[in-house]
Amino acid sequence: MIQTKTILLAATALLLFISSKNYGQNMLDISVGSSNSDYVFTTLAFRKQVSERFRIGLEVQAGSIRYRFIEAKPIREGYSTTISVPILYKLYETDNIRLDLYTRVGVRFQGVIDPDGNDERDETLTSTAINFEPGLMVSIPISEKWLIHSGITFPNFFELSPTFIFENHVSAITAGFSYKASENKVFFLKGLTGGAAGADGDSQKYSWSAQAGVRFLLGSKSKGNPRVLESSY
Amino acid sequence: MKNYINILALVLFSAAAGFAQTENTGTENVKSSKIGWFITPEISTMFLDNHVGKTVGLQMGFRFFKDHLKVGYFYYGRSGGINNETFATNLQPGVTYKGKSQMQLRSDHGAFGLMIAPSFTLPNSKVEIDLPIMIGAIGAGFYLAGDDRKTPDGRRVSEWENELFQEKDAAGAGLTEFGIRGLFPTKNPSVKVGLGVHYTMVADLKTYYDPTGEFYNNKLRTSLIVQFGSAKK
Repeated sequence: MIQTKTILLAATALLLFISSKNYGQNMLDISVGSSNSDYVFTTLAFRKQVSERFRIGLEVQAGSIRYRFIEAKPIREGYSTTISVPILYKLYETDNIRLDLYTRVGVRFQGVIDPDGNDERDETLTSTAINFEPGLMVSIPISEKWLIHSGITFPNFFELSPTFIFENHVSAITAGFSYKASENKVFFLKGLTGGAAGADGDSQKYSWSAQAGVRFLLGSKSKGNPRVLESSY
Repeated sequence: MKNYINILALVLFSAAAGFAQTENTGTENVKSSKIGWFITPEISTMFLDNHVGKTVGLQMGFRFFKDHLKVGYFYYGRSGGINNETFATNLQPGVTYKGKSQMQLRSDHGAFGLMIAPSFTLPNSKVEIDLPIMIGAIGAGFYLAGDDRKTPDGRRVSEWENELFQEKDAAGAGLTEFGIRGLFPTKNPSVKVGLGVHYTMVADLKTYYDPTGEFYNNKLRTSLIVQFGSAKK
């Protein structure tokens, strides 16, 4: 129920965001990936290039759980949904390199049906957490179409309920590339990996994530570079 | 603690990197600045007793005095997720866990702190040599792995580890590291690839498994890096 409400809320917000007055180029990302947390996750993101330097988005990610935590105890099935707002702000750019400040704030919902493992759907365990992920993204232009990405990010997760726990802190490096296939389409591949700690050592000790997707460029062109990617946890 | 230091370092970095950038017109337009910046993803191998540890890490910071001095933040972690070695550990006499009196533990570690690296370019060459001195802290531990993380009474695994290992399953200590790295140019002046050798000293990191505190002390480490950053003008 909570997940359904969440998805409806996110979809409504996304539609409102899309229909808002357009001052810059809009982007719609659809991607699929896998991570140490999820067997498979899908991401739907809408991004707005507000100015040449500044981009903001709304992202919804849903995954099938591989290895996640509620109250610092592992869960190996269930659902996970994260709604987040990623932000990019260009700090530095030459012909050879671009540096962006990257930040993501969001809310993550997790749930597992039958947590006691008695094969009856008599109980549901859910959790809510906030995530805050600052980082720096580097983009290296290879040609008019290709861009290589790297960077560093520090995802943080704080479980708010059922128990407040500083669940996880990750120190990650990122890599990826983007390819502008046409005037309105960019393909991308991106991933991250790095050590993790939190919850007195009970949560993730290492994190990795990889995903591939396509970015559709909507609306009028702007000065921003649509090939520049956000990190994705 | 580390997550706050990470974020503080990133905020300071972003403020300074942004300050160093001038108005962008999409061409080489960065004013001659006395301060440069770098971001360096890293993978490394730690030559520990009887096995080789694998790490993922990063550095970020600034270059001063015409790139002859780098000052920044470093992190690298030897995570259990990418290190399969286990360490046989006897429990206290009369103590058992799931019927066992000897456990096969995994280990992990994270190191972070300040990096100061004098650097120079070899004569008649574009190869850069830097001498990173890393001063910081290390947190490391030995933990129950695999099915042993599913506790018999449903309590958090850290509670069991504290009891089984007398609160010494993990510890923190100071770290000092001296190294030498060669950074080789690429076609892109803002990207260099480097190889390094480091000598690590850790003071007094005593745990239940390693009461001598020598597990990480006086060890060699080799690193492979990609350094992104502002190009020397």
